[in-house]
Amino acid sequence: MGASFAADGHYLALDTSGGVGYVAVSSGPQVLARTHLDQKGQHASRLMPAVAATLEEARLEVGRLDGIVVGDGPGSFTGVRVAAATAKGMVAALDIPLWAVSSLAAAALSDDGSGGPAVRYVLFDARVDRVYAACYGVGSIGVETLVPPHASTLRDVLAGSVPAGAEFVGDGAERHRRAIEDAGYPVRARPHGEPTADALIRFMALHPDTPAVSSPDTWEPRYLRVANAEREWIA
Amino acid sequence: MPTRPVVLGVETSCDETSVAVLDGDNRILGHVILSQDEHKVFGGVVPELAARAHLQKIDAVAREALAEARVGMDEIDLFGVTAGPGLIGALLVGVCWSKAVAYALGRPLVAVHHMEAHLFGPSLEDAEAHPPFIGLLVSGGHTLLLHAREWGHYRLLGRTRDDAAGEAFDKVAKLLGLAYPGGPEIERLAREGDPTRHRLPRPMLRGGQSPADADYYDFSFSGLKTAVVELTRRVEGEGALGVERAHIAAGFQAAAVDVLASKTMRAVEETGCERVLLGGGVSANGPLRDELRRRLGRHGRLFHASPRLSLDNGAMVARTARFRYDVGQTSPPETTAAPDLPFPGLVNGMS
Repeated sequence: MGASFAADGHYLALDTSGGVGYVAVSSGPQVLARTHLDQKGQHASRLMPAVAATLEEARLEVGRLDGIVVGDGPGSFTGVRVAAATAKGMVAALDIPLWAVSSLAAAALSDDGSGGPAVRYVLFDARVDRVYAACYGVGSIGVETLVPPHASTLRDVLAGSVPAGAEFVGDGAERHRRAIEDAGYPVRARPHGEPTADALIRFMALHPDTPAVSSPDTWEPRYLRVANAEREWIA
Repeated sequence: MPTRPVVLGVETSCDETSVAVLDGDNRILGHVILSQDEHKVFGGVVPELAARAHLQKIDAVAREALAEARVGMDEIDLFGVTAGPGLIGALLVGVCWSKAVAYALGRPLVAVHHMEAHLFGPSLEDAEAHPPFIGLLVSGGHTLLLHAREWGHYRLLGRTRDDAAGEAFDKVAKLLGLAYPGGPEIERLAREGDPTRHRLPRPMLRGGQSPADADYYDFSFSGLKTAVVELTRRVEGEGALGVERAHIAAGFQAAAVDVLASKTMRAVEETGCERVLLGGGVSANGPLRDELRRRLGRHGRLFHASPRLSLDNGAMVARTARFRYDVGQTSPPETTAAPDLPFPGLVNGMS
């Protein structure tokens, strides 16, 4: 599907990869309405009503959507799938394009960018000492991937190549704040580092030519980790 | 909303991704069942792999079912989806996808109970398969014996207190070095064995039991499974497992079938209802069908689905959604999946 994110198009953005879920409806880059799902573990029941409420607040009928932008993980496996399955269902019903944006990239963009260019090392908590990690250079002209999304341990992240000037964000950074600060890096607290739906829209506005998912039928999120049973089998 | 809606049913509760389209007369227009191969190497269903596979396949399965039905998605009047019981991650894929499609098209959605759907399965192929009947639902996760006087009103007579019947088949198959799923493998191997060579226990089946006994209708398969484990270890220690495997499989299957058929016949005798409906994955077991048919005799009637509809499938979900819709039930956008979803209309005990 050769669609582009248009300045006059109407979009729905979803991310439920983390403890808080996010929904936004936009007209091009301008977010018209947003909803936060702040009850952990309730995303599956609350996402669809939130989509309906957000569209209503934006005074937009669902049939007028021109595309859906979904945070494609990583994060809670089940949480990532809630938004993914919802997005796939809506795309199948409405026959509109789907854009999949890394939830880590969205988290790097979760402030409004008014602070100027920055280097954001995003860490999502993946339990114990494990994290999902990626580093981005962000600014008014776009997002550059400096360290691509990967699953790692905090120790390996800090022992690896951390781009100059990086500040750490995300719930994984907050969880491991002391170790990161002891290593000499700053940690920015939430709301920085959250994969918000506003940030998904911001990403698309900065990169309107991001290709839509070529085959939404077979698309799946980027989990970055195999299931435990698979890991044990491989070992 | 038409009075005879076209229904799309979605099933993702375990390791089958299935979508079906039924017309207003409950005829199957299109039906796709995709059994996931991902689990074979693990000897059982891996929940996370099941959920991932459902998400990856659900659109293609739906498209194929719609194409077979020659119906467009926007021509669907009603959506049905299994909301439980089952694997939570797997269920959520179907529920979230179905809610999204139904909302986007402005159509009603009905969340369906997986085991009630198995009761409706045989009715898709046999118009006589309706209440009253004694229902024996046997699958990898459930073993239920109930009395259905009419659709939506069920009396629970018995249930397993530990392993489900299908779970026992899978575990014994694994023990004997057979592939997953174990039911068909046990049945195949048992054909080569002597079911009387190893007499295995019939848990909760004793002479002199009466309907007043708490375990009169209940099942237990963990003791049987343990007996098979001990027997297998003994013959393995004697270096005879190779020649005894088929006999062990036959003995196990005979014991399981005896318990299931005996408890079912108790319900037939107690209620006077000589119509038995067999549902769930284990209903595909030939010896179980044959034994029930034999015990029911000429006056009784056994209903079961064809092997294909004995699998978890979207057609039975669509049929159940249609029934629930016809009695005025639809599900709100807050609907979610529940691994222990209560069986609707099921009340305890004989009356």
